[in-house]
Amino acid sequence: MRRVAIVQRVLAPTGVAVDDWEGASFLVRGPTGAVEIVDNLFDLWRKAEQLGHRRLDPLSIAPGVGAD
Amino acid sequence: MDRLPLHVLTGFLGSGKTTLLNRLVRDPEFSDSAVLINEIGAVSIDHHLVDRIEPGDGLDVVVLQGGCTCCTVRGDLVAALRELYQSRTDGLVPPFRRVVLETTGLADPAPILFTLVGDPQLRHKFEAGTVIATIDALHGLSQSEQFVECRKQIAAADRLVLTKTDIAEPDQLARTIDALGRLNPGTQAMDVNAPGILTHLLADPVQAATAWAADHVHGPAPNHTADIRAVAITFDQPIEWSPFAVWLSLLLHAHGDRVLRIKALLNVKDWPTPVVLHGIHHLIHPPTHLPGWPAGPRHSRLVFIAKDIDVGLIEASLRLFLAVHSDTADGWSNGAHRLPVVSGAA
Repeated sequence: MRRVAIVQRVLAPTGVAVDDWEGASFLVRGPTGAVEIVDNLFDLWRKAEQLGHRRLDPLSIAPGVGAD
Repeated sequence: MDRLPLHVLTGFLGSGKTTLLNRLVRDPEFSDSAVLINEIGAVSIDHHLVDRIEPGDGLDVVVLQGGCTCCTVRGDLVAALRELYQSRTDGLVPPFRRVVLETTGLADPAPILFTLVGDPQLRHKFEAGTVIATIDALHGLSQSEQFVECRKQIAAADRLVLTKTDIAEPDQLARTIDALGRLNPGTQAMDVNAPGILTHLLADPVQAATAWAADHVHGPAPNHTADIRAVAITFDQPIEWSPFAVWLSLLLHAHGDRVLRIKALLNVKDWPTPVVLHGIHHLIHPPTHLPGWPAGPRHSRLVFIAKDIDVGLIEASLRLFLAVHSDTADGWSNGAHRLPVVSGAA
């Protein structure tokens, strides 16, 4: 699934792994092995931040920008 | 069953919302409308004005109690819409074909649309229609400079309607139109007295999207002091849907509270017709597929209107993300996958 592959790339530095779950959901696995299933990308980002303890911000392409 | 459109009529205090609403519901073409008025305070002047419309002309008015829509009235809005729909089903009111909600002059239109899609019953009965904002040609410019509520209303609008144009000086009018173009590029400000304006205001989404797509969207002039800024982005080549959708979800996850408006006409790779996307804050409407391309180049055009964000970063981020994650990119091997979307502790 293309979307999952892109998400995996994005999250690779955080130690959070993502897999497709029955073609409709995402299986999110944190660095310590905690696993959650989420239904959409919005929930996925939220869960990935919780499990990876890192903030995700696509505007952080310049140093310090986007980090509050 | 077709869902009924809920149109939102917003605009700053005294900008002529009720005058426009009265005109609209008296027009035979729109007499099959139900009207909801968001009341603030104990006495609603707006309500009294609309309430004078004689019953039997297909109009039903429900006044929402409890003040500003953006913070306290969402439960009332749900209840009012459910009641209105039930009355329609039971034959207690004429079978109206649309709902027009007039907000208070200080309301942010976005939570109204969230309320609509967030309610499990309402979202099957109503769909988000057009957000119309009235702007006073005499005072709109200073109001938009002074009040963030006014700027948010302008930014959220699908239609901008200039009122009191007959008594405004040409220079004043020109400066107001220029300011509107900065706050909401690509949305043409219409004169309230223009012929056929009512039909244009409530055009169906596909028709509206086609009109928007046919307009050339100019990049806004830089305005480095404003809190609300817009950026218009063009892609000459088709874009891939999957990386775009992932990027957009990530942007809205991180900054949806400050992304006031998204409008996009997309040339999606492997898709023959244009795709139109509209969004307000975290809410993205289902993509609309237009029947065909308007004349001219098939470019993707996107407009982002955001508050307290350097909108140049939005463009840079999108371009970088698509470059790294498109099918043809070799992001893995050249290390570009390390696009820094991770910005510290959560």
